[in-house]
Amino acid sequence: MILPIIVNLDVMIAKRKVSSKDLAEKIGITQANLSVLKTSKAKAIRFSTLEAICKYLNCQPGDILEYVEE
Amino acid sequence: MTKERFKKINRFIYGLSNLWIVVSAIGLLFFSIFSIFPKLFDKINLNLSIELPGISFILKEVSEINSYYFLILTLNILIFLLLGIFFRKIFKNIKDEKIFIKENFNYLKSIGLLTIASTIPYTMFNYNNAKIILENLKFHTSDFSLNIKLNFELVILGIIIIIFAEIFKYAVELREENDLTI
Repeated sequence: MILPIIVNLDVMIAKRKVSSKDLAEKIGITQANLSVLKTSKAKAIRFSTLEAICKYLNCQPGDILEYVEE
Repeated sequence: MTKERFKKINRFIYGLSNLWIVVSAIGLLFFSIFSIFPKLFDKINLNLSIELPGISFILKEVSEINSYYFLILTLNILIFLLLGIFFRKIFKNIKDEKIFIKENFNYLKSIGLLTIASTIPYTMFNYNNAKIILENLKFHTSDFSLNIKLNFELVILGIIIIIFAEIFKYAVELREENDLTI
């Protein structure tokens, strides 16, 4: 099921030239969970997780999250 | 209750459910043989007669009641066996720490439906026993009549289990949502 919120984490990871493994470690989630997030399969994201991602990748939530009409 | 104690109790109940299934399977085999070959029971020679002042009870024509009697018992024990199987599956999942999964909801719902279904052979069994007693009992004074009484307690219990299963289903959905919250 494709949810209307797309997570553009791959784009930001490529821009900042970091690895997924390092990102997962720094924000305190498993690589499996990061994969769930990257593929937009997650049902919800905690503000604390979003904060940690934005801090590490030096970006805004809008750079990672995109709304697409169904 | 500590987690370790809960695990021990669960393992014990899981073991009991294995015994439940074995005993039910043996009983099912035994009763299904007698329901197909009721004459086998004749050879066990169970003649019953009670003589008391005012009433007498003599159980005669045993083969006439055999096949129906054992058919009811076979149906009852089949339900009992299925209940044992579903309980065992649930306790196995709990033992493997898989509690809030859709499988367990399905098993719980099945247990609820089987509990309601078990009232049928139970009612048939009681009705049959009452019929035999009335046919063989000789009273000097009163009149008696047969009534079918459904075991409402089991029906209510079955409904409660089904309601609990629906609440459990909601818990499964919450757990799934929690798992997909990063």
